[in-house]
Amino acid sequence: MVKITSSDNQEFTISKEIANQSVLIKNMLEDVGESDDQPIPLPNVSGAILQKVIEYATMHKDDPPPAPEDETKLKTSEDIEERDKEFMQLDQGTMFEIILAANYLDMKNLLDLGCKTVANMIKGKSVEEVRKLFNIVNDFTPEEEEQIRKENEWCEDR
Amino acid sequence: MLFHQLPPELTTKVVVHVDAATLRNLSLTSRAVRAFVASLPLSFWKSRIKIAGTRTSFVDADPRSLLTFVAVPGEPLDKAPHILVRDINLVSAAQSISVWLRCSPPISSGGYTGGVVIGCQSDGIMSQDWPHYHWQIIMVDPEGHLRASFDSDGHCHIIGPNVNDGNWHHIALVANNKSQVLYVDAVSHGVCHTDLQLGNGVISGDTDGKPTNEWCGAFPFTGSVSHYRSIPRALNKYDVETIFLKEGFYMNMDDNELVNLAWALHLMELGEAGRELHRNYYDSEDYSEDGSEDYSEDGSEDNSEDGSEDNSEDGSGDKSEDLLT
Repeated sequence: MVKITSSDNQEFTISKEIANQSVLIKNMLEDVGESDDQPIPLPNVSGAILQKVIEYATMHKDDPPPAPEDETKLKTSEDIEERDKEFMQLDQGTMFEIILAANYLDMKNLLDLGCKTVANMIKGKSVEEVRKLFNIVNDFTPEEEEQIRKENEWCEDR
Repeated sequence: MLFHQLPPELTTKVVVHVDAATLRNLSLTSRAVRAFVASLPLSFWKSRIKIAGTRTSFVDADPRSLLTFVAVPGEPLDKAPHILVRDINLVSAAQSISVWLRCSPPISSGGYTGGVVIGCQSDGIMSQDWPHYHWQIIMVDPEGHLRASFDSDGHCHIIGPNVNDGNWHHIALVANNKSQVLYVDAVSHGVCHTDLQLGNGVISGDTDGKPTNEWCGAFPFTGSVSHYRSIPRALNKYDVETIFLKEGFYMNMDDNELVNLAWALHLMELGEAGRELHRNYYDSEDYSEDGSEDYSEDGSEDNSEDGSEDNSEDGSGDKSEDLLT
């Protein structure tokens, strides 16, 4: 078993196969050796987010390791498993924190899942809908808006 | 934490999954987001073509060619400037053109359907002189049939299907040193085989810059031309810097990156036919990077409209298996 601690000092004990889904933790384990039972500090991840990350890793512990990225393959955000869709039914703040955590912990599958989920949220949305979705304040001046409208006039009719 | 407050490397991982229109909408939400999206390498540059007599519209094309159309009513065709083709090698290497087009009714009575979509000639249309050479790479004839060829002397001219139906069609003309294939909406519509003399350029008389004083004949450019564009206004310094920076990004991308970007941003919208083409392109065991890949969809059959007809004008191009020679 492997012990990890979050930024708010919550300690979690997880199996090695779950721990190894994080390339960061896997590398740290290799560095410190098997005998060291000191908890691995993860100062960039809070306890609440680490709990969700462990939940994801447990759900996927029997999955084959992620294939190396094939840059020639079509990128699509529509190939998300049903169980992952359910897992990502979170508030936006938590979702973005999970993306950050997945990036920090070097968990490619979780990072991909987070990015695809966000992409799916944006797809097909109008400007106003995107603003509302992400709580983005429109700070363009009326002159700038007019200028942008003119610049984009030619591509309004798709 | 908001979406646009994510580190740029993560936001970039998100936006590779969205289409160009969504990316554009995202860029219009606020100053900060606009600046961020503009900084992304994915903020592709759009070029435009104006086609007389059609309503304003545009289609995103494969960023490998970075072609986009804008049709502006009333603009004379000789001012239809923006053809942007990546890496036409004017000597011999494999090359492709990807373009979308939509036919419109003739502008006036007595006018004709179609016309030259991508062409090349020695004098402008308003010139008083008859051009010394004129070369139609992609055109629609008055009957509405596509005709396409990289071959400047017309020996390897492919006649495609009728596209005069008011719909947008994707046209791809693909060639290696020996053969070329015309795809319409991602379906092969004929191949032909010849030793292609790609490029044109006769120089003669008292023209400056001839290889020798006595030179009279072909003087084709040796090298590659990329991102050709013609813009009907004077560019300012900022325009020039913007084009340099935006296009410089693509110039430095390798083919795999370009294809990946293309598929991520655009070709998903082509539907199943586009996906099938993509699968065939990469899954084909015949694929190689030396320009000898099998361009036909099934690698063996003539995919002409009626399944049997030789669509090349010289009658030489009915069997795509010969393409691999």
